[in-house]
Amino acid sequence: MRTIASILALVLTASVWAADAPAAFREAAALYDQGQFDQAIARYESLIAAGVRSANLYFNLGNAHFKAGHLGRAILNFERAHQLEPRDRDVDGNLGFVEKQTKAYDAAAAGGWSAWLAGARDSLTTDEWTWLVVACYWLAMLGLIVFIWLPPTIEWRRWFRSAAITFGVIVLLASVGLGARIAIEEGPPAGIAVAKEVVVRFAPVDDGMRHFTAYEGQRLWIVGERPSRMQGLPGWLEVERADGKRGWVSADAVEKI
Amino acid sequence: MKEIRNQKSEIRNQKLLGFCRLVAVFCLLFPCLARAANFTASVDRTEVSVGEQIQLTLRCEDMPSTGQPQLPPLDGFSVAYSGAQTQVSIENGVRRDAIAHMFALTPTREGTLVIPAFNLQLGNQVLSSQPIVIKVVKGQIQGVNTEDVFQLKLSTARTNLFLNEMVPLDLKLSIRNGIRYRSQMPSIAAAGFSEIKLPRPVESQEVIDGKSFVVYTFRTLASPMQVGQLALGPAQAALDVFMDSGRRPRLPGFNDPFFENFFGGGGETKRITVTSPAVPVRVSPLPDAGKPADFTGAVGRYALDVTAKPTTLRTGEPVTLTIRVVGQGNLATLAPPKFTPPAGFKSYEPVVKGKQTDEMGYTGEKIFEQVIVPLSVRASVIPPVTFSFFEPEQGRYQTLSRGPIQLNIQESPAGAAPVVVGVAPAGATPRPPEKLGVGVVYLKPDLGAPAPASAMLYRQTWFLAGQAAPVLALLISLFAQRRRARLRSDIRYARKRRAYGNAQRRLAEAERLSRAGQSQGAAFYATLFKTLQDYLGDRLNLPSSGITSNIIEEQLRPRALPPEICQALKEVFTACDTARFAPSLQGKVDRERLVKIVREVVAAMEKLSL
Repeated sequence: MRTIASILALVLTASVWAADAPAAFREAAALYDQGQFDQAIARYESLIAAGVRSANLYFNLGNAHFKAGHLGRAILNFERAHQLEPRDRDVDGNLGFVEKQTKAYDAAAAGGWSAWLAGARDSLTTDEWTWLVVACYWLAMLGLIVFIWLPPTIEWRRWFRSAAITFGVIVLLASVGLGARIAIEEGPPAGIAVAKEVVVRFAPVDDGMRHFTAYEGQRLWIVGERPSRMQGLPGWLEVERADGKRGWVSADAVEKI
Repeated sequence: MKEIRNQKSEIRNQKLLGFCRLVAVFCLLFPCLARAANFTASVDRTEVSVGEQIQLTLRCEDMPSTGQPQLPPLDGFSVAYSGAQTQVSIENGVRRDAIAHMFALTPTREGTLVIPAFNLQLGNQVLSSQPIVIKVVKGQIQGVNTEDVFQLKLSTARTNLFLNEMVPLDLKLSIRNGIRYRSQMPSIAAAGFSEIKLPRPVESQEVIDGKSFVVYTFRTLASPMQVGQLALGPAQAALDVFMDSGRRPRLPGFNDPFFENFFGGGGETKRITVTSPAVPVRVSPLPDAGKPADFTGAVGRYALDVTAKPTTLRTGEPVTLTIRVVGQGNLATLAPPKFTPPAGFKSYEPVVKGKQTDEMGYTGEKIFEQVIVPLSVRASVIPPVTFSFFEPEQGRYQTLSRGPIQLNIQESPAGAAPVVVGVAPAGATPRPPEKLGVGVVYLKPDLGAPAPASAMLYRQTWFLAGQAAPVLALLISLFAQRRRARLRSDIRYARKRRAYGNAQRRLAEAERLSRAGQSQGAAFYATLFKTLQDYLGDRLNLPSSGITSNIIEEQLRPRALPPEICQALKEVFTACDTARFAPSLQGKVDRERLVKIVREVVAAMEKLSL
């Protein structure tokens, strides 16, 4: 049943994709060119609401938000584009450029080993890491099996052993990357502060004591949630900063990547 | 029904029935249908408390379809259209169509209220519903005083306003702590005002009359769009309150965790509407007396600041005039202050360069920039910039003026066309480092590849299960290789492994020969004997050619082969020997039985660990 539903969803998405999406995409770009950034944003977001998702769509939406002065939402959408196309240099360039415009930018954190490792981890999507591990694992096993079956008298038998060992080592290394990606996928979801200044409080009430301030574009991890008791109003999110400090923010101030 | 009919004459005398002559008129151009049309009004209950909703249903049977009917204002009720339901039924073979229009009525005061009769014009025919009497109990919901639990208050800083003035409004919704509820966003009725948008409320805790309340404070603005006596409000908030089985809201001390599953458990929800009284407001027009010529509609309290940069320049170079308006008022719609540069300046249209206001666009600043270019040294003074606005608290116009600003302008030197005087020798002057611009990369031209819709691979069971295949293949390969290696190196093992298969093949051949008749007797016994020799030789790792019946006593009996099997085996050996060496002595032998005996011997020996 779930499979049928998935296929149906895929077909519907594909039909939306095929029908109006490219025209609407071009229309939004035309609005952007005319300097009507808010209208362009609305057009791009209507596409997303219709179920269309692509790195290029998020990239353009990020650009429109940047031009409209919404740095947090620009970063949010560039991050979404980066998740789908991690090796797109345009996305990386714009993301880095916009991040530098924010108060939340930490030049020290942007360099160093941890940043390099994070960059390596994020250079592939989770599925790409999975395929890399699996492909090398199959090749390593294939090399091993051929090595086992070939008679010891055959000269080039050892090449299969070497191939199996090489692919095995790659499997181990890639598994570290995959594990890191899975830890992110399964861990608390990351969000981006989209309001200019986000007051993070000790309690999920408006007059709760202020803990710290997060700035537009800052990455926060969402570790808890409390829905609003007033319909139409955002609830509260419990967020964690990179240094482990936690607090509550209004749910409309932080958006999940 | 009878009681209602008796009250009709009394009701007609009541003042509130003045409007009931008119009512929801459904545009009907069709003649009456053959079946009798019917129009009724009903409510789901006739006794409610203030703020509690009841449902009014206007049911039209066998009438042409109409749109949403408009009810006149009902005294003592606030009305909201809930939707329509259509119904088709067949009665005695006759189709009946009905449409029910439903309205949510919320009593706003206590007492005996009457929903008047409604008239419905259908062609030439007028159909009437019956009036309905509703008993409204003051502020009580099944024994719990509503006012002690929910409060809604609307207040404004000023009640004497001017047209287009922006006045702050405070709406406070107080809910007794411990009540389990879910609230809708309140709404404020404000005819004659611009649309009132409620921002996110500030949530706080307050103690009112010794009781603890959670208070949502909505701070917003109202701006009158017409003059005269208007009303701000009433404001309304609908709340779904969780009631326990005794239909009482759960109050503190009832051990309800405050934040856990709203409306879970065995209770039910009850829709309650809290209403605040309206605030009467008098709106005056902006006076004509004293209106400055440059007044463009700004109402509020403002300050003006004007700067020019640079002030030392050459003719033809631009000067940026920055005009900053700070204050409170309709900043969002504020037009730029009037500034017309005198002759000698070329000017461009002013643009809004920045705006920093509060969420409602009421308090803050708005910055305009206008570029002007002095065309001659005589244009050395920027004249004053003026800004006029109406100050509602003082009730008069004010004009602010900043400037003039003195410029130090020099004549631009007459430019000469650059002349190339020579080519620098290669390597003589290093090329200056290139300075690259920074900015965002332009838009992508197309949508690109769609993002995968399915879950990630590592979460998919089929994918994970598939990864067992190489391990399985490897294990099978290892097992097969080990076996192959042992078969090559371990003769005893190899003979033992092949013994059974060879025996079965030979026995099948022997069986075939036994059925072939007397002519194949020699071949049968030879095959049977060979079978025994090879099998026992392989199993015992002895030369097959040396296997005779002596093997039974020498090898098999000591290895605990059952005596009856030994006996049977001996019989087979004897039969074979007789057939081979003294066929004339051999009587009639059941060859198939011999084959069967050998099979049993093989089966028995397979069970032995030899």
